Amino acid sequence: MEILGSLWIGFATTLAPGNFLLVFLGVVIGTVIGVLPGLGPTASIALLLPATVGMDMVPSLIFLAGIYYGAMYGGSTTSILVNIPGEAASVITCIDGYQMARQGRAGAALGIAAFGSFIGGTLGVVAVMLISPFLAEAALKFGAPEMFALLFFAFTCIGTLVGKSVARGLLMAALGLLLGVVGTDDIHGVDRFTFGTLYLRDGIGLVPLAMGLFGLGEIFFNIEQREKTGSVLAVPKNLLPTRKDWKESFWPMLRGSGLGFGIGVLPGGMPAVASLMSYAIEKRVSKHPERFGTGAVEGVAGPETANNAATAGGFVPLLTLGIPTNSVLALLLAALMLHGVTPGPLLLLKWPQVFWGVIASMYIGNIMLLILNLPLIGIFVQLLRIPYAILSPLIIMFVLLGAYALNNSIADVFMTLLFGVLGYLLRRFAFEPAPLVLAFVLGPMMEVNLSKALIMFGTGNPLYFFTRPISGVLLALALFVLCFPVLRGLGKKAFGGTDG
Amino acid sequence: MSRVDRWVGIAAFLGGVLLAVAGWRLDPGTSKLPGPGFFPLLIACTLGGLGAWLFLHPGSEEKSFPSGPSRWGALAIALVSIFGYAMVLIELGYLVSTFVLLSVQLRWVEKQRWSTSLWTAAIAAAVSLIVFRVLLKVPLPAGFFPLPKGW
Repeated sequence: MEILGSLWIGFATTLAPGNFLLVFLGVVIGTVIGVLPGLGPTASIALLLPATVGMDMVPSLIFLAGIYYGAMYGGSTTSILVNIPGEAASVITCIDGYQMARQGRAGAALGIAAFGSFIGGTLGVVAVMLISPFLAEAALKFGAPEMFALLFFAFTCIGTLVGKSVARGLLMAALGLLLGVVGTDDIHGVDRFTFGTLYLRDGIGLVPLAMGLFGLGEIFFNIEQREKTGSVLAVPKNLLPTRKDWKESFWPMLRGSGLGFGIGVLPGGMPAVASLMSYAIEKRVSKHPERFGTGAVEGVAGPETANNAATAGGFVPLLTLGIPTNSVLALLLAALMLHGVTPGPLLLLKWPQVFWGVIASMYIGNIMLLILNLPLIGIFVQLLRIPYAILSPLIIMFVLLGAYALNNSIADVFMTLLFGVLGYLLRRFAFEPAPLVLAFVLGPMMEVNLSKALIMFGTGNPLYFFTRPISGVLLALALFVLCFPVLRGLGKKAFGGTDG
Repeated sequence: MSRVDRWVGIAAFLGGVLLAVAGWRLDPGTSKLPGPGFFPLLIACTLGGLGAWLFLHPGSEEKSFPSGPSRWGALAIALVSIFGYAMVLIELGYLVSTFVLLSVQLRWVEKQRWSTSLWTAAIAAAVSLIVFRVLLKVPLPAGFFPLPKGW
């Protein structure tokens, strides 16, 4: 009953005219961003973050959250109609979605993607609502050793789960930690790696870092290696899936919801990972795996549901523990902190309107997206006809404008350009930038909790962390995550096995 | 074997060594009372260790997109024009510098016609100025270009 009462307050907050309009704007902007290749949700949220500084806390967060799940919905449209994913989580939808469109079944593919996104998103929000209060209550009992162990576990997951190579992922995460220590040390007040500049004393800003890595980096890569885009297929009038489509999609959607939510809760469990795993599972459990890749509706339903459920799932650790599980959520964390809110177990107690407002806005946003996506898909698709050669300079302009507008600082523009070059190099040589951003955010929290734990419990023995049950289990899990790829490699060598 | 992994491994290892020296100079303290260099030293060990691992166990060669020919010239123009934009933004003001940046990007990076480049640049610079400076009250630099009162 308490949850329902709180949810009611959340709905009252979100349905206030100004907030309702912001949810609408957020999901529309998000859908457009998802539809347009070249500007993902991370860069877009980084870009719009400065515009929310003047807003109140709740409206700014529901606006940014709307952009995030709007982008997840919109990303499937280009995958299905042009064979180009609007964002990373929709890469897998290209495989069967585009084949369905080529066979004249674009309507069914778009419809199933929209309904799947709605179902995954909605079930995910229900789970967030039910789990978060209990997790937050449990997390209140965490001391510095437990928080450090949890953050270390998150660090290992981020490094190992994201990207193809564990060593590369961990290296990116280590680089993120290094960038995170630049600036004045919170505990001792000593300047570290500032090279005598005032600008770096406050540390490197998350927004220039994210906009550079994800916004400019992507644009530079596209300038250097311009891909030839396919022609945009026509949008059929009938977008409602047939009874057969529904029958074939029911279980993939259900499995996708559970799997996506579970992955979304894990640090490093990005929506793209959820959609990829869902596709692999659907192919494995299918009685006709040979249909996958030729236009199987399950290959659209499962991944699209999973990536939206993962999007919702990511809000659990963010709102209850203050731990972002992907780079978009890292920016939402920054948005909260800009408004003086410290995300963590106390969020539900101190700022319940933030938590329940976001939850209610997600319910409303999901319904809006379903209503918007089906009838208005033709309009969104028209955006794909704008040449990328025109869009690309405009995106650069918005990125630079956003970088300047945050602090009215030209140094932020230079910093964005610097990280843009780094982002381009990472993209060029297949290094995943997400672990860098996440470790950059988690690093300072890790350091503070490690120092507190060592000072307060002053044993000087690192094994002390293993003597406390929660931190011991979390560190053991972290070590398992770190060792698992090595053990798997050794196992394969010993038994001469292959993948699968 | 990935040559990229080997080079990145060497760079990370050397970076780790340099960071370890810097961390030591910052004072690492002890494990009972960590100093400001303690955490950087831990990162240095991680970085160096991972660098060594990547050098010794490089993955298979891969590029992000092994597609068409690279447009290095276009990329160089894009980078230089953005750097130049950041250098002159305050002096020239948002409107003029953004117009120039967009014109350069559209004409020489994206190979659009002069008329398309200039019109698109002018409209985009003016609209973004109105939206951000006038409506959202972001204090974008005015520079020497005379703006209407109240902008």
